[in-house]
Amino acid sequence: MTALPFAELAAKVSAAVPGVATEQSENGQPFLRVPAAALLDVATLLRRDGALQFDALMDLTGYDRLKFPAVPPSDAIAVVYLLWSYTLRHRVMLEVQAPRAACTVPSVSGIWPAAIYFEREIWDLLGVQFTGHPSLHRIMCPDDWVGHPLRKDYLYPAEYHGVSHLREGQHFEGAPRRVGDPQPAPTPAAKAPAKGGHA
Amino acid sequence: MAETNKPGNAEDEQVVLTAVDEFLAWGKENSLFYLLFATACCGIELMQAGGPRYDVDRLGMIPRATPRQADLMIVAGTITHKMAGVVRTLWEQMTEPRWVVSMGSCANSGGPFSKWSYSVLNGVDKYVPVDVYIPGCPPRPEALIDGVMALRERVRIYRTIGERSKEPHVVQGGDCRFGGHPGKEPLA
Repeated sequence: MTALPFAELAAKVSAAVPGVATEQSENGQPFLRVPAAALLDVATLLRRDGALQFDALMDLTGYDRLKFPAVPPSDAIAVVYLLWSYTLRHRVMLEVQAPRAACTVPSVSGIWPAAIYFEREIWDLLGVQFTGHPSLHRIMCPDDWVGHPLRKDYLYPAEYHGVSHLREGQHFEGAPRRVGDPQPAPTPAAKAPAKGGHA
Repeated sequence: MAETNKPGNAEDEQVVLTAVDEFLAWGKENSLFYLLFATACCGIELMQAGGPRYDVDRLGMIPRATPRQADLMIVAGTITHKMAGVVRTLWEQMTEPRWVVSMGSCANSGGPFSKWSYSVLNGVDKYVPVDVYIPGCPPRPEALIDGVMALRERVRIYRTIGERSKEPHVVQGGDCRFGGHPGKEPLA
């Protein structure tokens, strides 16, 4: 009953499942990059293997890599799995990427039931289709909501059920573009984006 | 008969003459039961107003857990588009005459969420008619009580038959970033 360091853990997973790569996040935290096709194999291994025993899916989240800082522009949506073993007291992070156009990732809800709610949230906010999910529908936005709000190219709604979003005469400088707004003028390439500003 | 007009005659002393509407208004004004409807941090101030220090119970304001027993709806907090339908349903379940106080910047106009949020309703008055607006983020209990006192004026002049004022009352105040902050001197 010993916690595995990340290197051993990664070696074990890479040996068992081809295509799994070890990478480091910007703040130096190592994680496993898993191809979407191999996710279920990796997840089953992590859950069932006697030396791994990742019995808890602590968090399942995602982010849009469009306009993501410090990497080349990418059209992918990333889904991040944070796993923890209560028995062996070690943890690991997985990242799966799916292209925006065909954003499909296999569901791990059969392995960790906690994923049912997490995956609904990611579907709702980022529009990732989890195949094999028992009931993939919106969890935060209303059922008839249009679009996935945390996508960075999300177009804000102008109204909902006939109730306009902004108050009469309300105008905000630099506010997100809404449905029906005119197309923004193309910004000159020379103009660098403001540091730390909203995209 | 001269004898019946003497002081101390029981029949004379137990009669008070008043208009029915005035009597009802007096009763309503002094028993504004409010619906506990808190969706954000304004709810904390609403609870505080109901606590022992500010004690709105002394104004006859008792919190009710169901809209069917409430005269007044205090919308305390951020209302999202998803929640707005619920607000409307609750309001429709209240019996007439019903009153609505919009408490805090979020319920008034969306407040700090009005620019960047896709989901927040910019003002609860798009779904229910509001009688009193209380600025502040959140407003202090004093501001809430100030708004309630203004509402009591309206309840007092409310008549069963006749027009009801559509013009809302706005509690005055002034230094908060997202709205007024009564009880403090305005910042220079």
